[in-house]
Amino acid sequence: MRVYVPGDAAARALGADAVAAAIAAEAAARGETVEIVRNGSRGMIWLEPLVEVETEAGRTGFGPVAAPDVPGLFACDFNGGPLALGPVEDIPFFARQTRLTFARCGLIDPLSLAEYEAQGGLTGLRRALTMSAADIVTEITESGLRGRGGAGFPTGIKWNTVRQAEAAQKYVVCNADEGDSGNFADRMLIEGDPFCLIEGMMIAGLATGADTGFVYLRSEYPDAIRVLQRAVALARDAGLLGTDVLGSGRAFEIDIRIGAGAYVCGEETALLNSLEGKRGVVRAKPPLPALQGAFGQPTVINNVITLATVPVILDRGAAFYRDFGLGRSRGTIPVQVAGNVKQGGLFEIGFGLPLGELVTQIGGGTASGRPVKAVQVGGPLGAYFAPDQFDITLGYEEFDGAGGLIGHAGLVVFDDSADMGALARFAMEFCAIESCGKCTPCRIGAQRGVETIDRIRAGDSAAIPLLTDLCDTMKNGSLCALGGFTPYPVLSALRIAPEDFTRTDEAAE
Amino acid sequence: MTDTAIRATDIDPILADHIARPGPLLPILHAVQQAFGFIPEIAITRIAEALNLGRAEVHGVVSFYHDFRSTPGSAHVLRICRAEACQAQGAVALEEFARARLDAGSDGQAAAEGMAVEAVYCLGLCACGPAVQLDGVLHGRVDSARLDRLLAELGR
Amino acid sequence: MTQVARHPPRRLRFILPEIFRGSRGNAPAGAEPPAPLARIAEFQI
Repeated sequence: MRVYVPGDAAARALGADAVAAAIAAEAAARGETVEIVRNGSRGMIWLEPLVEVETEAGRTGFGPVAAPDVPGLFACDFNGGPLALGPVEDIPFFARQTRLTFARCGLIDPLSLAEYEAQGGLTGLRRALTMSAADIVTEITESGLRGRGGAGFPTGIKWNTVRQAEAAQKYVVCNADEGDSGNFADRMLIEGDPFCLIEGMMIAGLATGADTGFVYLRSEYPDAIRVLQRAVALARDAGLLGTDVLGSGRAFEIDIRIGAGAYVCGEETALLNSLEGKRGVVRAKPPLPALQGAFGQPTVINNVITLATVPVILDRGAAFYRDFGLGRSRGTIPVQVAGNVKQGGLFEIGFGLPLGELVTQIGGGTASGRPVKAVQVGGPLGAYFAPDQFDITLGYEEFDGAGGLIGHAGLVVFDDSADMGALARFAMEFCAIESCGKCTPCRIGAQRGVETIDRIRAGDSAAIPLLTDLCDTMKNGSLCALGGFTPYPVLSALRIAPEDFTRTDEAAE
Repeated sequence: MTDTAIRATDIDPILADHIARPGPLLPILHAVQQAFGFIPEIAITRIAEALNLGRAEVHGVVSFYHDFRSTPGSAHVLRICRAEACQAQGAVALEEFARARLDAGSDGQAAAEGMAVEAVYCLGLCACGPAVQLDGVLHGRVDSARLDRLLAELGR
Repeated sequence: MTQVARHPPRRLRFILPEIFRGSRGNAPAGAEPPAPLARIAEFQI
C-alpha cells in the first residue's frame, strides 16, 4: 500500500511527522507493508495533515489526521470512517481549480525526478532546447505571462532585454524571499515541486544566454531550503544541471543563497545587493537589473511562481496559457486564502474571480463564524478591502484601479473583532522595523507614521490630515514598494473603520 | 563557546569553503553563526582581511540583517509570528500569554534563564495561524493551551 | 515582498515641518505649530 503524508512545512507544523511515524509503527505492528511518500501539500491547509492512499479509484483522502487517529484508519482498512474525504481531487475546493503551475504539487514525491518526468516534467525544457533564444522569448511574450512578484511586468519583455544585452556573463535570479504575510505559494511550490522551479530557471537561462542561476531563499523557510538543496543536488547527479544539460552541450548551474531575515531583501534590487554580500539596501532604477543586475551583469530576476509557470507554457504552448484569465491578466494565479478563514489554503485559478467569492465561497467565510470586516490583499503592503468592495475581480489593473495591489495574491481575512487602527499602526511599525534606510520618506516617515497614529488614537483627530499627507509623501517619494505601499494598508484601514482610530477609551491605557 | 575562546584561525576553514563563490559574505556569515552560535568580533576582523573589505563594512552587513547576532544566543528560542495573518487568528494574545508565561520583557529576554522570546514576521504558515517556531521546529494553529504544553515539554 | 509597477519617484518632497520636527529636535517648546500641510520644498525631477 502506498500512503501519502505531506512533508510540507504547514502539514509538518500540524503534526504530519507524528502521523507518518504512527503509520509506520502501526503497519509494522500489523505486519503490513506500507510505502510512505512525503508529498507536497495539495493546498487544502484546513485539512492538513491530509493523508492519502492510492486505491483503484484513485487517491482518497483523510484529514485532518492526528497520530492517535492512525490505528482507526488501519482498522477500517483506509476505507470510510469519520475523517474520510473521498477522492481528493473531487473535493470541491480542489475540483474547482485550474492547476497549471501547481499541477504536480502534492501529487508526486517532490524529490523524485522520475515521478516529475512521468507527470509532464522536463517536456518544456526539452522543447526549449530545440528552439532559438528569440523563439523561447516570443513564446513567453505571447503567453501573456506577467511577473507574479506583484509588479506584473511582462516576463517576455524583461527576458528580451536580457537576451539582447551584450555581456560575457548573464544571470538568472529567482526571488524566493517571499516574506509577505498571507503568502505561501513560493514556499509550497518549492517544497512540493522543486524541479519545476529548476526547469523554469533553466529555460530562462536558455532564453537569455545565462548559464548561472541563483535562488535567493529566505531563512524562515527551513523545509524549503532543505528540499531545494536536495533537488538541486539530484538534478546535478542526473545530468540535468551541469556542463551538459540533458546531453545538449549547454551549461546551467544553480546556487542557492539563504537570506538573513530582512524583509526588504524581497525587493529585487535589495536582493541583488544582498546576493553580492552587501547590506540589503534598495538600488535606484535605472539601471534596470535586466542590464546591470547581479554583479553588474545583465540579470533576469523573477519570482518563484513566474519561473515555475514557464515549463507549462513551453510544454503546452503560449495560446493554451493565454486562454485563461481576464483582460490583460492572462493565465492562472495561485490565490492564497489565509488568516481568519474556515477553509484556508492555496487555490489556483484563472484571473477574473471576484474577491468576495474567494473569501466567502472558496474560503468559506471566517473561521470564527463572525462577519468579515476586512480582507488584506497582497501582503503587509496591500490594501484592506471591506465587504462592500467584494465585487472587484482578481486582476492587476482591477486591483490597481481600486487603490490596492494584487501582490502575490495572498488574502488575509479578518473578522469584526479586528482593530483597524491597530493594524494601521502595525503597518507603519513594520515599515519602520524593516526599512533599509536608504530613502527618507520610508526611514523617517514610517516612524512618524507610528507616532501620528498614536496621536490620533489618543484623541487628536486634527492629526488625521497630517497622516494622510505623510502617506502621500511616502507614496510618491519612496524608492521601493516598502515605503511606497505602506500607505495602502494605513489609508484603507482609515477608510474602512475611521471609528477604530478614535477609540479614546483605549488611549487611556 | 565564549568570544575569547575563538581564535582567528577557527574562521579559516569556513573562509576556505566559501571564498571562491561570487558574493561570499552572506554564506560565510551564516556558516560562522552556525559554527559558533553568533558572529564573534574576531571573525569580523578575519573575514574583512580575507575579503579585502573594511571591518566597518562587514560589521554593517552583520548589523543590517535580523538573523545575525553579535552575542551568544539563548539555549532555547521561541519565535512567535507577529504578521497580519497570524494576528487575524489571535497572535497578539498568544504573544502576551507567552511573555507572561515566561516572564519575558518586550526585549525578549526571559527571566527564566536560557529562553528567548523573539518576534518573527511570517513563517509561511498563514492558513494555519497563529504560528510559532520553538527551537527551530514549526508549529501551526497554536493557542495558549498548546503553547503551554510545548513549553512544559521543554521543562519550562 | 511585493514589487512595484511604477517609475522611480518623480516628486521628492522634503521635510513636512510638523511631522519631521521631532527628528530635528529644534522646535521651540510651546511654539505655535506651522500650518500642518505647509512644505518647505517640493521638487519635480
